[in-house]
Parts: sequence; C-alpha cells; structure tokens
Amino acid sequence: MQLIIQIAISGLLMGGIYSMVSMGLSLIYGVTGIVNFAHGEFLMVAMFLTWGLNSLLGLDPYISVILVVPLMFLIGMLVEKTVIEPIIKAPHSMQIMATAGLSTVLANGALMLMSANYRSVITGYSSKTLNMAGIMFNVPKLVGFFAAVALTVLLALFLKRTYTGRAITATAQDMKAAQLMGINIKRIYLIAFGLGTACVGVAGVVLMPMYYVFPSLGTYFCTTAFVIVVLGGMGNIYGAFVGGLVIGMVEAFSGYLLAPVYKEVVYFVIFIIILIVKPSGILGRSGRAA
Amino acid sequence: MDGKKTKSPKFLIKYLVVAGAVCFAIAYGNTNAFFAHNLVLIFLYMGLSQAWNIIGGYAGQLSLGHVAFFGIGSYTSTLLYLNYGITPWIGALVGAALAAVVAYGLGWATLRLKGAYFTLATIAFAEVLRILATNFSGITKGAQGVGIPFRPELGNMIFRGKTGYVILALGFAVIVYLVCRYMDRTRLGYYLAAIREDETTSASMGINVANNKVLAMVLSAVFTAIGGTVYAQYILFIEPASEFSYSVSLNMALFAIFGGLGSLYGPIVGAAILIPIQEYLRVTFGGSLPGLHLAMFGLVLIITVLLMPKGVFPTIQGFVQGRIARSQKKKLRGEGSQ
Repeated sequence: MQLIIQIAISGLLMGGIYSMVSMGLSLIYGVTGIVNFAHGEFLMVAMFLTWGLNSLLGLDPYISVILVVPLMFLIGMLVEKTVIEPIIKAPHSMQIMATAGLSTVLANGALMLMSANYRSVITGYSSKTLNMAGIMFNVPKLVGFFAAVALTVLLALFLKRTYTGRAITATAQDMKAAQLMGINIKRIYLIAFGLGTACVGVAGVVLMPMYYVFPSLGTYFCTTAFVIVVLGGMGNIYGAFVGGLVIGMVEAFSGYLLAPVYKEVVYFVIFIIILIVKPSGILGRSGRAA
Repeated sequence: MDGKKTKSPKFLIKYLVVAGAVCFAIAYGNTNAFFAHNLVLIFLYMGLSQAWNIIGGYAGQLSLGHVAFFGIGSYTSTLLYLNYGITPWIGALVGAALAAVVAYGLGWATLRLKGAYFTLATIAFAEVLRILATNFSGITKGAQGVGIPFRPELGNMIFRGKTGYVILALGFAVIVYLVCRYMDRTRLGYYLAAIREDETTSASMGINVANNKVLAMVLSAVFTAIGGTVYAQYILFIEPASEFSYSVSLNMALFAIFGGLGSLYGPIVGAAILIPIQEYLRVTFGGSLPGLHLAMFGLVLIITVLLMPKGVFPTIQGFVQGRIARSQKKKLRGEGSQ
C-alpha cells in the first residue's frame, strides 16, 4: 500500500510540471486556434535560459524565474508577430507546417549553438527529499507541483478578473463577437501567445533543478503535452491541469507495472481511445473555450 | 482519355528532354559517387514525397508520422531477407501489404479527426513504433540495428556501385509518379480534392469522405513502405533511430509543400531542389555545425508557408503564365492600335 501511495504521489508531483507545459499549449489553442508544434521547443529554450543564467551569473534557478518568464513572454510575442500572425487565417495544414518548421529551427538551432550535450544545474536542494509518514517527497518536484497550482489559480484569476483576461476569454469564445465589442483581436492574440509561452517559462525554471536540458528535449514534452491537452479538452486550461496530473500518474504506474520505456506507448493508447470515444476531453466542454 | 490522339510533338519533346537529362545524369553519376548518391536520394524522396502527397496534399490530411510506414517497409523486407532468405523484391511487397493493413487501422481510427488531431496521432504513432522497434530486440535487434551483408546481385536488390541504386530509385519514383498521375485524372483524385476543400459539402454531394480518406492513406502508406525497402537496401543497415526518425516524415512533407502541395509535380520539384542543398550542407557543415541543414529546412518551411503557400512550382507556373498572358495582351493591343 505504501508503495502504491508513493508511486501515486511522485506521479502527481511530476504531473504538476506537465500541467504547466500543457496549460500554455491549451491557452494558445483556445484563443488563437493554433496548435503550436513548437511548444516543447519553447520549454527547451526556457531551460537553456535558466541554465545560462545559472552558469553565467550564478543565479539560483528559482530566482531566475523573474528574468526567464518575462523573457519567454517576449519571445512568445516575437514569434507570434513574425510567424503566427500572418497565418492566423490560413488553412490548418499551413499553420501546422509553420509551427512544425519553427520547432525544427529551434531544436536544430540549439543543437548548433549548444551541441547535443546534456546540461544540468546542480543545486543544494536538487536531490533533497522530505519524509512524511514514510512517503518521500522530492523537494524540487514538490516546488514544481505548488508552482503549477499557483500558476493555474493566477491564470484563472487573470482570465476572470482583469479586463485583458476577460477580453482573452471573450476572444476564445467568439472571435467575431469580441471584435464587434471593440476588442483588439491582434493584441489579444499577441498577449495570449506570450502568456502561453510564459507558462512554459515557469515550467522550464522549476524543471531545471531536477532534470537536464538538451536540444531535442522538446519532442518528448511536446508529445506528452499534446496527450494532456487532448485529455483535458483542447483549449480548456483547467482540463490541462487535471489532464497533467492524470498523465503524471499514468506515467508513474505504467513505469512501475510495465517498464519506463513503454510509458509513451501507454500515452498513445490513451490518446487514441480518447480521440475516438470522447474527442472533447474528460472535462467535457467541446469547442474552443479557455 | 481522348487526349492521346491530339498530343502534339511538343509534348513528346518535353518527355524526351527529361529522359535525356536523366540518362545524362546517370552517366555522369557513374563517374562521380557524391553526385550519384544525391541522385539516389533525390529519386527516392521524389517517390516518398509523392506518396506522402496522396494523403497530405490531395486529401489535405497532414501526416507527420509517415516514417512509420517507411520503417515498416524497411524492417519487413530486411528481416524476411535475413531470417528466411526471401528476396527484398518480394519483401518490399510484403512490407507494403503490412503497411496497408496498419494504415487501414490507423486511418480508420484517426482520419475522422479534424486537422491537428490527425497530425498529432500520426506523430505519436511513429514514436510508438520507434519505441517498440527499440525494445523488441528479440525481433529487431533493438537499438544496435541490423546490418545487411553485402552480396551484390539483382535478386538480392543489392548492387555494386551506385548506378544500380540510381536506377532502382528512379524506377520507384516513376512508378509512384504514374500512380499519382493516374489518380490525378480519375475519380479518386477529384474526390480527394473535394474533401480537402470542404468536407461537409463533399459529404453532402454523396462522396464517402471517410472511405476515400482511408483509401488515400492506404495508397500513400504502400508506396512509403516500398520506399523504406529501397532505402534499407541502399544503406544496408537499419536501426530504429534512423528508420523511424521524425526528420524523414518532415522531409517527405517539406518537399511536397515546398514544391507545391497537392500538385502532381510539386514533390518532384521540391525533392530535386532541396535534396542537393541538404546533402551539401550536411557534408560541409555536418561536423562543425550539426543541425545546420535541418535548421535551414525548418526556415525554408516557414518561409514557404508565409510567402508562397502554394509552393514553388505553382508559383513559378502562375508567374510564367501571367507573363505569357500579359505579353499576348500587349501584342493584341499593339495590333489593335495600328
């Protein structure tokens, strides 16, 4: 029993990180209708930024969040302005190709600049664990989990309480109606894309003390994030949060019951089953609503 | 096809010029190994990219996991050859049949999904096959890969020197071209184009959308698998990392999109232009700047989508036709004023 709880807990904690990556993806899709195939690469960029700040300036990863997140927000807006805005009304296939192209550029650009080496940031708390009633909590994972919860709450408050947030929600629900109400759609797209990228920035920061970064890291996280987003319902950020936790648990249990290498096979099976049985995701609401 | 009788000699000349250029290229390739290597890859990818174009271009269902079928083809023929001594000529057909079955199942499950969902499902599927090929080492020898012993003979689909492979790859490309051309002019081609433009309308016009999409997927998978066999016989070594590599899927899509999505000549033009650039970059910068050629390709992809979403071939075609039309108009106007 203790073992089962332990597995569930560590899955849940890892799930928090996945949630953060997926929320950004879901937000971007919900508002702009773009499925961002470069999302995993944004995570890789955020992790390299964290690593760079640590090795150049000696910044602790958790402190570097104040630089990495705004930087990622800017990078997201830059990408939106140059690549996404021109194709926002293009057919789906063109949008997919553009973001897939972007992902190739980022992954291989990183390979050129940083080489294929694995890099990590070693901190005093990297492998620290808390022991509660015989169950171990890995400290960086715990921080990541709470960061995910905090991010979800903040994002929800932002979308519900602020003017810009409500404008974003309105755009996600009905772009044309929002435009008629005087909302500047282009600006909303820009902000939403920046926000989605900033979410990945937070994920990159909390992931850095317990993981390593390498140029092709994006592919793995991107597939996982897609499964989560589909699980939670495309465009639904709360769904992405719940979906992340579910997939984290699935990963932990399939690693224990089968073998860690088969976890992606399990994802795929889940993915296909959801797509066939309930394409709107476990939280139900279909369509694009943030 | 009543057009056959009225074909002008001009039409024949076009074919003769192409055939002559290809013969000349093959002859030159006989003396220059790097050039011949480029030719093999160009022809191979012309075939692969055309095969991708059936589902990705004509039917408009963007697959980024076609390497799954490529890998199925190469593993099937190679394992049949090594374990049972079955010639790759037959192995290629077995691989194609297997790919057809898999494509049918995958298509049935995923082609009802809209746009991005389908793309995601294909990527995930290829990833899963890569993982299985890596871990079922009893059958596939896992990550260490399988080498094919060099026994040059036509029956083994192994050739001494590169010229044999150039002709093999060319044959593959021509067969896929003929199939695509046939499809382009028959009902299936029109059905697929209609589905690509508007699924709901096509369904209401009585087109069986799901069946036609699955059929396109199966056709596409069959030729992709045969391409996989050709590649395996050329490299004589297969491993999960390269046989199920995402970059192969991306290349197939990129060449078709760059050349002209859903057009007959698009993938041909795309492969002919981009493969030499890729190989040049890979050979020149592969050691010092790994990833440069792929980064460049990503950039080409973005720029193509942003600047000429129809692709190079239709854009140039449109430009030339526009010029001709304009000059004719000018001529007419000139005559009118006199």
